[in-house]
Amino acid sequence: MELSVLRYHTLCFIIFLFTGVWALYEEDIGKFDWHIRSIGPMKFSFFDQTHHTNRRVIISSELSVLASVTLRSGDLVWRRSLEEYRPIDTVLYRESTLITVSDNGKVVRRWDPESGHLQWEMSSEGEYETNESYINAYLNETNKIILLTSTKLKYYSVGGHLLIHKDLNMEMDGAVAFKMSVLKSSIILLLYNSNSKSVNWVSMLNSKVQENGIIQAFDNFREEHCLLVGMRSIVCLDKQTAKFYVATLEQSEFIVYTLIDLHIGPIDLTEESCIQISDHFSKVTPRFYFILSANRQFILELEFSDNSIRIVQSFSSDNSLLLFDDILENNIIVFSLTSDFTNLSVRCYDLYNEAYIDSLEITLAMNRFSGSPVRAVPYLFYKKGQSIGYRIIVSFQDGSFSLIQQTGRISWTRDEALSDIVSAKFITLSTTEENTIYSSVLLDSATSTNPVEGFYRMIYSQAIYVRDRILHIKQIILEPSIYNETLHEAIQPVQSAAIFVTRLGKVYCIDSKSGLFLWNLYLPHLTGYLSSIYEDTCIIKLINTSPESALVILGHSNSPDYCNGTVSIVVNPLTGEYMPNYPSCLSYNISQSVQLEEDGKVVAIALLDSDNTIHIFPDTYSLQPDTRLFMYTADAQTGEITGHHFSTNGDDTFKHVPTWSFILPRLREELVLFSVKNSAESIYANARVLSDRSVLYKYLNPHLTVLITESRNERKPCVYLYVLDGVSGRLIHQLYHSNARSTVPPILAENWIAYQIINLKEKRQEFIMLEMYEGKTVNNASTWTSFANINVLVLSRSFILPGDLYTMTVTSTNRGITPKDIILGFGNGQLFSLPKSFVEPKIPHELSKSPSPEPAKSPTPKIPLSYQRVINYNKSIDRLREILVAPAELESTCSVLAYGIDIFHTQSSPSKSFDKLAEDFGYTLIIGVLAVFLVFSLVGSSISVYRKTNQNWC
Amino acid sequence: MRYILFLLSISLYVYTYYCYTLEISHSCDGVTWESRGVVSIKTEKSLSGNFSQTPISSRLLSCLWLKAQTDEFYHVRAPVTFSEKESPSETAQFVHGFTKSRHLFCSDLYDSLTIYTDSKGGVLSLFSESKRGCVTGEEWSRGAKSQIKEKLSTSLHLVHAHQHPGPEPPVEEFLKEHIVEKEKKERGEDKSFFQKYWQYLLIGFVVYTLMGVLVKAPSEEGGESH
Repeated sequence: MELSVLRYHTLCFIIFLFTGVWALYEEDIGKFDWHIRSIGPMKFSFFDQTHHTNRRVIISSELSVLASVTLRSGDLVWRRSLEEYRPIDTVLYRESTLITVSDNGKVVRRWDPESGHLQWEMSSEGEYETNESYINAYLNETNKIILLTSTKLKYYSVGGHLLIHKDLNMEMDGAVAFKMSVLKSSIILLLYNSNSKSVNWVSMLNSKVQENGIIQAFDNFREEHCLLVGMRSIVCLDKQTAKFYVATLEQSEFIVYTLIDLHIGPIDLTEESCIQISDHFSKVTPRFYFILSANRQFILELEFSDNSIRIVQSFSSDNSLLLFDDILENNIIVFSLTSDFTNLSVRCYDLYNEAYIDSLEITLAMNRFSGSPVRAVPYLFYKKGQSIGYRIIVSFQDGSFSLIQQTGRISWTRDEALSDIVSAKFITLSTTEENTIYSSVLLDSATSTNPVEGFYRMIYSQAIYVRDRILHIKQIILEPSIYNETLHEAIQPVQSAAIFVTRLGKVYCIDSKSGLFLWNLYLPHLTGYLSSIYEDTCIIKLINTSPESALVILGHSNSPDYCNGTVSIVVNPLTGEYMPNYPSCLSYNISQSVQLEEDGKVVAIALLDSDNTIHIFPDTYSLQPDTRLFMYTADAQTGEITGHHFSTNGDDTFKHVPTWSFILPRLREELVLFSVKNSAESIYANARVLSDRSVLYKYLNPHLTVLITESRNERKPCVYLYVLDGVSGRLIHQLYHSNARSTVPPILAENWIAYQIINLKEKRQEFIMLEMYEGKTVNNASTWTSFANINVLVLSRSFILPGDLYTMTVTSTNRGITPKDIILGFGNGQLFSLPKSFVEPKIPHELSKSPSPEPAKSPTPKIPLSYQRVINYNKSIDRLREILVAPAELESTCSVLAYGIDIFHTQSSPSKSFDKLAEDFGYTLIIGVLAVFLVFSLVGSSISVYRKTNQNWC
Repeated sequence: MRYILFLLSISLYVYTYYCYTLEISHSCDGVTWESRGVVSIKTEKSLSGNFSQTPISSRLLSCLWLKAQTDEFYHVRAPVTFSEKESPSETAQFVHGFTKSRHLFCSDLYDSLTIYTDSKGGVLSLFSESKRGCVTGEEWSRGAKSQIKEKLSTSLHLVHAHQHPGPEPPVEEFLKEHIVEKEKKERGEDKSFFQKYWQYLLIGFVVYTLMGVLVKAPSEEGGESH
């Protein structure tokens, strides 16, 4: 008995020893940050039914991401992001076997569907010399993976062993495989020999060739327009002549059928017209789909006896139509999905009985505009009463996908457009008119040079805020019905929001504090505006128009019919509602833009088109009489950087004069990276104090531009850096790095430039810091002019980067009092906050008269990155692309937003929270202590008076 | 004779390879251009060259004066010297530079012309800068006297844009320092006070203890005798 009690106590003691260990205080997790994890638009999908209690869906996306989501809620169970440069060709799934084939069949991997762990990987790097035009894989009943590419046929066991490897190109005299059909252990392969213009077919049983033959191809033969129907006939569609060509494998020539023979009506084959076969069809029935157009499709049947074709069923709709099928024992159900953007209808067609099943028909209302359905994957099952039930996962044009139940309900929707962001920007929202006043007063107080006036305005702004909150509470009490809870709860008086424009044409506004989605829009015709240097980007500007602000998004149109120029979207930034009186399409393409400001507020945008003509947006804005604009454009293709000057002609037109040019030798150098300094940034200090107490003045040119070019000579890779003045075109500094490449856009702030190179010789990444100084006397003390004659002193220092840098940025605060940190984003999704002072160049001994050299904060050649500097702890950002920074309300903090496939937002405090009380600040304790002191002082004073009186009496 | 001709042709080839000329043009509006002179550039070891200028025309000077009234610009240009294949496009046959006309007059028509070239001598950029800007209105009005000059005074700067190698991480310096520190440690220079002088301290301690014992012993003897 005693022994068991001892054991019990020991066990309790051991359990007590196990405590959670976190990298930051547990209660702080998610308090100042939010994280959105995405998959990407759906490409392949499978219903994982192995977990009876927790059913899942396995998704493979267009962005080479493999994931498992719960069937109940759509939440992520696991996610594996595969290499972006190795797109997933196909995914195979059966019971507990999940196989992915990537990179044109070069990489085959098996995954554990439950945990997402990689079980094995077979890579045949270097085996494939050319890109394979055809990839097909099959997991047969004997659990063998059959992988067919244009030139290779491979058999893998599910254990990860390569069983058979056939080089078809060698064996078949240059023929290229283009079709495969598998039924149990037998395979039929179709190969096309372009030399002899013939189709070779091979029949194999257990990987051994049984039979083969040759069929003479017809004139307009295209491999991608052919099908292998029922393991014995080839059906091809000739789009040019609108004819079907049919041949059984035993025949040597094709038989021709015109589409008119099918009584389809007037034939108008479009680009999207094609024939497709379903796996379920090919096993049991010689039927296939014929897609005539987006809203007219057919199921056709091939009669083996005479190779004739008949229509089994035609499907047509006024709206978009999608056909897909599933098999349940002996039932093949063909689903037809039609959508008019507001309603989604599903009809089920029984292929055996050749009749619709009315009981399975559903219509459901779509509560948002998602475009047409793109793909759908059904899952058929028997319900309790042996009646057929189904679930469908439908993906839409806007990148979202939803689970539709047979009950006519959408269980969940995953919005995946955010996985591919083209442009993002922080904006400041003001909800009410009072708040607009508050924000403007706050802005005035921030920019005021007089401290007394600034203090007064700050107090005044706080008074407006308090008044607004009281009115707000009053409104909730008196008129709760008209109070929009979601919006007002989400929006504080002055609130920062993030605007995202995605590649699929979706625009999101997300509250940067909480991560709450405020509104979103789907604009199918909007894509990124084509930039010549970087990937697609859009122009996002918040302009102050009367009476309310307007959010302007300018992007490229993907449909010339809709807009042959620039798509313009002007919305209310609070609600996402379109604002009237603004054009939706601009007739010109934009090559550069400049914001026009009045009293520190953006009031209009000057847009430079490809003909060097300035357009003002909105066109209702009247220009100041003597407006002058300096702009420059960079063209990566021609290597030309050109400066422009625009001055008003007296009316609303501009006179254009090209001012300067910088021309790269196009065949030797390629412009790869380009960065511009934020001219509105707050300066931390105008000078650097040296150890001998002298001052070195910073070169604070607000028009700095950095170009990074690379040598085109593969044998002599080289990076060239040019620092230019964007107004005068003056080349301020230039240097080169031999045996190097550069992949990360440089950052510019105050008087320094930081950039990254990949040292190919030493096989490492390096971080270089350049600092520019005017010298020990200041030249541009009051106002800056680019025409001043200044000799710039450049100090530099290089460091080894302990990681694979993807992107970087610099923190920015309201007034620039807080020292700057450099935020480095690495390939593993971590964000490091590095104090800029750690990477400052050493001051040369000649500049400082101090007997000892200037001490360096980082004496090692490697950047000191400790894991305490990771600002996103374990919430890594997959395929990190860019980091945005915006000042927060408090001077010590700034908002940091990083995005790739995921989005992560947090607050960074480069100098800790010096102007903020700690979260666990003991208000009660302080008040209690003060109260106790007060009581003690009162009691003490009365006692002392009493004692003094007594002493006097004595 | 053949030998001399061969040598002459070689030297001519070398001369033309390493020397070339640029005709600089200038304008007051960026539309009508006039020749400003010819720059001869030698690219042998370091860039060098000279600039023979032609007098500025009265038309251009008066035009510049008018432009200076409205604070507009003085433009210069030089032809692109890349090979035909490398010439980016038809529109970019020249590289341009500019400065304020007003500044030019304020500096008595004295400017500096900087030509940036790449490693093969191709002109990347041209930068014109007046020697001194007009900071105040007085300086500007004083600049009016410059109109009487016939020629621009110019200082020519030829800059090789690819001559400064970027910094490298100071790995060798760090390793040297590291090795020196290691050697110091090995030599014992970096030892602490106790590590260095423990022998003397030990001797001192032993002497002190012995002295204590020796002093105590006679006193005890004395005690006994007493």
